[in-house]
Amino acid sequence: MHDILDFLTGPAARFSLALLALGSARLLILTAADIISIVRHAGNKKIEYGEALASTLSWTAPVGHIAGTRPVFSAVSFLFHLGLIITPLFLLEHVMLWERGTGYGWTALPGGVADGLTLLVILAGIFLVTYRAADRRRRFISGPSHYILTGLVVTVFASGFLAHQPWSPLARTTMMVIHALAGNVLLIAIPFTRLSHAILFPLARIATATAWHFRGGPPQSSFSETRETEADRQ
Amino acid sequence: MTVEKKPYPFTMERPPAEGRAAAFLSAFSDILRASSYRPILDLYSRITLHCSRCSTECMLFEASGDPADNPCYRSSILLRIYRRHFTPRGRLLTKLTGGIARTERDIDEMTESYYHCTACGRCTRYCPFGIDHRLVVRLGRYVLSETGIVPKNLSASTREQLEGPARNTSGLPLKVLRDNLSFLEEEIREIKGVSVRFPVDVMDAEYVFFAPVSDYIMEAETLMGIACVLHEAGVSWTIASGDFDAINYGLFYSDARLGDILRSMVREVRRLKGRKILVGECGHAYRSMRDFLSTYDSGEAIPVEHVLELTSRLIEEKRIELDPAVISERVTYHDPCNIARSGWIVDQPRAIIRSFIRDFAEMDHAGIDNYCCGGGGGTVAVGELKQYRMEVAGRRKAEQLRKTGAGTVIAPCANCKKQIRELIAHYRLPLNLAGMHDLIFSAIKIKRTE
Repeated sequence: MHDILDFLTGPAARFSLALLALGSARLLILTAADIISIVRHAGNKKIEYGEALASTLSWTAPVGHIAGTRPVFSAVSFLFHLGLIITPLFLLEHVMLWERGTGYGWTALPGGVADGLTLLVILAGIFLVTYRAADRRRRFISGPSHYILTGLVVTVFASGFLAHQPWSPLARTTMMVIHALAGNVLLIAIPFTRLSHAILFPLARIATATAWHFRGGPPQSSFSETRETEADRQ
Repeated sequence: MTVEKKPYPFTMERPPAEGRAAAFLSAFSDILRASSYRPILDLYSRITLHCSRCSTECMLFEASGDPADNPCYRSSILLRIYRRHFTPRGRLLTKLTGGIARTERDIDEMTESYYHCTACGRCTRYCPFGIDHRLVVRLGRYVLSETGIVPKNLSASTREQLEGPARNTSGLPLKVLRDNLSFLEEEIREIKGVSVRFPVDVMDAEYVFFAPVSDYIMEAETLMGIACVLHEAGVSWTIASGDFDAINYGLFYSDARLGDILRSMVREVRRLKGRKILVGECGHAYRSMRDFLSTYDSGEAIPVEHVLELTSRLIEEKRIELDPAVISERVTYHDPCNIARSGWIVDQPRAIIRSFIRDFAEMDHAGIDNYCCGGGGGTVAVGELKQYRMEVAGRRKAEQLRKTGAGTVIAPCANCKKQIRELIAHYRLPLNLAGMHDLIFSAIKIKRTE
């Protein structure tokens, strides 16, 4: 069991992180190239980058956007993301893993704070899934990936949390294996699933700002022309 | 050849026959090749989470509770067609499992849903990623229109504007326009006791004026107010006889039509050697010109100004004076989405109002955060959608209007005016509708005699 854990936190983690880095770089490069291409072909090249950037920044820490018609959902969603980003980066055990692998470490969160944030992610994740599933109108726009990906995040955090609690009846090593396995899957999933929103977030609003800048040039079709359908051709 | 009747929610000039999916995909493919939409569809397909945060800010979803009125869901219809037929993974799956029948069903769904949306853009403000559902809806309508699926009221009006003898969406002949303008000049003389002209085809004017053609038929006071403001401030302006209609339905359903109409306007401005464009009380006309003139016109960009911007400036410069004693009842102001959502024209109308209206009440959501009148995105022109516009799309606006306790609502947009007039009748609201310049007309002091 310990061999498996060593493998998952060693070579497998390096592989997952490499895939995450390469996949994310691919997404960012493709999207940036797309934006450049849109601007190059646009009839109107005056893009309001400043506004797009300001809007991106205001949504990066969206405290000001929590109030509104869905304050509870917005607040929970915000806390979910907060814990999701901070905890894995500053958890003592993770910092130690980095130190072991690369020789570099950084300040870790106190154990109590990390535990609190972990619980926050677990509870918020459960809330978000329940919120989605409980209402017919929200189920209507939800596919399996919505549930699976949130479930995956909750699994990673819950197994990591339980592995550390002295009161937990579950075997520590088993929990750690589940944690490391699910963690690797999560890292790989980021650039290839809906989780890629984490990578593409900084570019999304800039891309949208450019999208209204259509290509110039001659009309694209004559007015009288509509498409022939198959039945027309017969 | 028998053509199966499809349950379309509106009449069309040339409804598509069977095999619509193939025609739709062919149009979609051509548009993707000739445009820059593909990257944005890729991006939105990747990042959309269907978190549904937009839905509670959408007046349609709020009023109908129909999951299909969720902005996220609406966009997802076109996005899934895109993924199914234009991405490698989608094409492979489509080969294995088939997808044409599903696309046929998607087209039905889009036809209805994409013309329920009023393209107000409110959802985008509340999307954590800023996903622009208005852009997706517009693209969906564009592809549908290339297949023949476009409300007759939009396509026939646009055809009239581009190819008809009168060159405007209502087919108003130039002779009738000139008669109407003479009548308006006569009215001003009778009411205000001064001679104010509506100049036509004056060369080298500072402003070439475009109003929605419906103003020349129905909104006499708006036009008289604008003419009085321009007269009193000594602004040189002209109406162009070759193209005087500001309406551009291309903004709502077709890049090609949008460009055709804008080019026609630019030709007239250049013919008359006008220096700027002045847009009358209209929302979408201003946005179509401000955002897209330089896209479709390769020449030096012609500056565009909305009449609310100009009037506000003239008041600030004390070039016109409004009598604050004329209007005593409570007035509220409706922000047209196309000029307010981006924050362009929010403060100017309020500055005008503060200069002569004593009792002004804001609606519960105003300015950038406003609610659409319920007739945006061209839907107000589609007669078949009236019931939906009244009972679903406009319900929120009717509630807002009632809550203000105002006796008059100002709506400086031809589309909003029509919709709000119908809402007032439908919900029996105790208030009147006016354009900004209707009230200005009653309050302006005219001192200039020539």
